[in-house]
Amino acid sequence: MSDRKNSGPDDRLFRRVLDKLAQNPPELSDPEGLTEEILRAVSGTPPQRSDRKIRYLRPVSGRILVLQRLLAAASVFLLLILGVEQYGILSDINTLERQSKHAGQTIRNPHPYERLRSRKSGNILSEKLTAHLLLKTNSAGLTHQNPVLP
Amino acid sequence: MMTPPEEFVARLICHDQKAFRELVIGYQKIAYSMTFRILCNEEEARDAVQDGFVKIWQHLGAYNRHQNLYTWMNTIFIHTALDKLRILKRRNEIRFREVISLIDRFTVETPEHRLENQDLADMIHLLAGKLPTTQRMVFILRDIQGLDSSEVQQMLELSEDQVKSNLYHARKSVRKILTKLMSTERRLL
Repeated sequence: MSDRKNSGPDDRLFRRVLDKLAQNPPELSDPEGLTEEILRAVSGTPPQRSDRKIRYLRPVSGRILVLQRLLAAASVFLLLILGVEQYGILSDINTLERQSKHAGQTIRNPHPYERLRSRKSGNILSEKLTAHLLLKTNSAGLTHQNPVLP
Repeated sequence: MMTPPEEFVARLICHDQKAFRELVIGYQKIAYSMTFRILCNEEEARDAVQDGFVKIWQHLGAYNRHQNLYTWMNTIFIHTALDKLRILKRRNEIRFREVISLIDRFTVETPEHRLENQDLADMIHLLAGKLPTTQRMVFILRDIQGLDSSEVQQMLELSEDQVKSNLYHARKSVRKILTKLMSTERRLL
């Protein structure tokens, strides 16, 4: 206890209390009884193999404790993030499903031919198609009929 | 404590019951004082001594002869006591009046006065009960049990600096607790 500074009355009190604690070991009642208890316990316990060593995982070291707590906090944080993300994705999926259902009822997917026909008559592609149909009809020897364009 | 003779250690390693009996008789009081100061409870300290000796008997084959036998044994007793400390129920807090009379018993200038186990347990609990485990262990082993710093380092698997800093902080906290108690007592008188 050489590194203890002796300055004020509080230090003297501190030293006195510590000295009393150090100089007064606790009294062991019935030591013979304890010896017999130990020997009885030992006689029923077979010794373990010499290659097995006692391994203590630093129970008093603060480092592992801090690491454990950090990992626990990180895992809880990750679980929270996972929950929030899942909720967001699920709500997006629900919205999309609702929208697509609604769209399926109102919008028909027209045939490409119908789509072409529905365009304005001035459209080049539409004109080309009309000409192609006419040619096809004539070559088949059918009566000439102009396709009805909208 | 001195290292035991080689021949005695060899008998122990061979699980000689007579040698083990001698070891128990010779060391149980030291082991008890250590576990009592850690646990502040007579029954639990007794149990820790018994469990510690059983572990020592079981693992004598794993003892490295280059290490001091008593340091190796102390490590086992300390860890056994620590395991018990973790599961020990919270102690009842000492009432303020009892604290004052306890301090009086400790500060009285009569060295021959024998202190009761309960007083010792209450005082250790009062001073070191709220310290973090490492600080508490270093303080008890160094300042109360009177072990060497190197022994404490080995037993608690700490570096020299860690022992020093834990002891410094523990002493500071204990001083603060004592000063606070004394100032309250002075105000009341």
